[in-house]
Amino acid sequence: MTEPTVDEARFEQAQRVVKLTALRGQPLDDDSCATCLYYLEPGADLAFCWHEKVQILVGAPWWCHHWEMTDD
Amino acid sequence: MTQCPVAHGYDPLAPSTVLDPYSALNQLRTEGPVFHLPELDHYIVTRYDDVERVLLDRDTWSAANASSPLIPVAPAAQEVLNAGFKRVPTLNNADPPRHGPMRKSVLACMTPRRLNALEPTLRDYAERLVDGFRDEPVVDLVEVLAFPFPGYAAFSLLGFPDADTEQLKTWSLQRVLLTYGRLTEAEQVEVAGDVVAMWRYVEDFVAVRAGNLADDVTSDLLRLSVDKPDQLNQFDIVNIVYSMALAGHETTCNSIGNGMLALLRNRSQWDALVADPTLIPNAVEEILRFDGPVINHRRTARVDTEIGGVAIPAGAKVMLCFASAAHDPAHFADPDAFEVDRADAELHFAFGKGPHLCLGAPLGRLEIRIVLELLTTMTPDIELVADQTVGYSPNALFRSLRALSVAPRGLAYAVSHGAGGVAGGGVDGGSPS
Repeated sequence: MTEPTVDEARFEQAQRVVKLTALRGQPLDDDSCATCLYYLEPGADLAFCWHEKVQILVGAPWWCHHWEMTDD
Repeated sequence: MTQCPVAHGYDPLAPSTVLDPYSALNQLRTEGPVFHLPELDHYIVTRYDDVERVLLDRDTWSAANASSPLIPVAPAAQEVLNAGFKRVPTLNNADPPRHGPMRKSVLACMTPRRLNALEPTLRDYAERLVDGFRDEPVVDLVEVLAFPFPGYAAFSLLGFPDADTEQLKTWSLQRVLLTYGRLTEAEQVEVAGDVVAMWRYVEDFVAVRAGNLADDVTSDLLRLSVDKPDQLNQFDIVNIVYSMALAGHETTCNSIGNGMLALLRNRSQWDALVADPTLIPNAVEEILRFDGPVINHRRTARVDTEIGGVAIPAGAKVMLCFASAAHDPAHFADPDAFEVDRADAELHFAFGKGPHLCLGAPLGRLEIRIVLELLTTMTPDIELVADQTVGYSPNALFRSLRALSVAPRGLAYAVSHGAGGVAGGGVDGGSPS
């Protein structure tokens, strides 16, 4: 059985998303991923973000500077 | 915590620094990345990581001074402003709790999707501009394209009449000088009059639009204010439109001018774009990094804090050097090289970062991309006119190229069509390296 290792490429990719989008684990004022247009499954605790610069699983209370309000 | 270095010799408004801010900043970043500038009463922050930290931390840093005059306004000029200029913090210089509702109001009317939908209209307009000068021997690219294109985009988005474009351009230039330049008292008084005139123009425009809504962002903001009067009122809209009347075109105009200067000075990079247009989106980012439209941005410390180990007292003003951060070798390999295929180019701060990320960023990127796509196909042989010294607006915030002489069909064509003396020597000043 081999020891688990860090996938450096995926790690760097994730770090780059954080850097590029100012992604953080807390809301900004009243705004969070849960109320963002790009949060794919409203109501879920975790969901895929489909903004072209993010494209990773994010948490409902998170926020990034590409936050955009939903159409309704 | 270390004693803060003081840099008495550095002046962001000195003519040599306005022409080339990068040389001095590279040296200062190495010698002492955070230093105090007593002459302007600002702490200067030069490293990428420090600039980023400040931009992301709204608890420690206020944006209230982002649009305040860098040099205190003379009493006589202040008197002129007091008579009619009623601007209050609204977008780039607003803090919570006001910033959120204002930002959301604009975002509701100016979504990235709406901006991207403008592409066909913008491309058509830019194509007509390029078509109008492509056979000229020599043109000033700022005059024929870099200003009119973003000006058209911003002003038509807001709903301003085409006929007012030149007046708005003049007022915008004056506004920048009063806020970020160093004017004499007499100049300040004159320019303050222009600032008041622009403010009143916007006030009147919004009032007229309120009674005659149309298909533009101003009208959409007015509709929103009817639906959500607790979020937005007409005075807020005047403030927003006044902000966008400058921010909507100034930085993109700068990016187009600075970008074409960088591309034509680094001919292999221009040739690479002509040969492979798929490089253009990344070239846009490299332009924004290499010689970006904004040199400095400002914040005020809310509390006693530190940056890079240097103590910053509450109330202190800091100048975040975006131009220096974009050339920080700790973040960008070979930072003074202009490389359209640079992998990490888009990590620049040209549009800010975090809660105050520029809402016009998608539009700015779109306009620069359209310009590059058109020029690489319609004027692939374009060259810089030699023996020109480029000049910049004398201010500490915007990197605003005043003119850029180019031969759209190349220097040989220009000479054969009567433009003598354009082909010898080099181009002095401007852009790093």
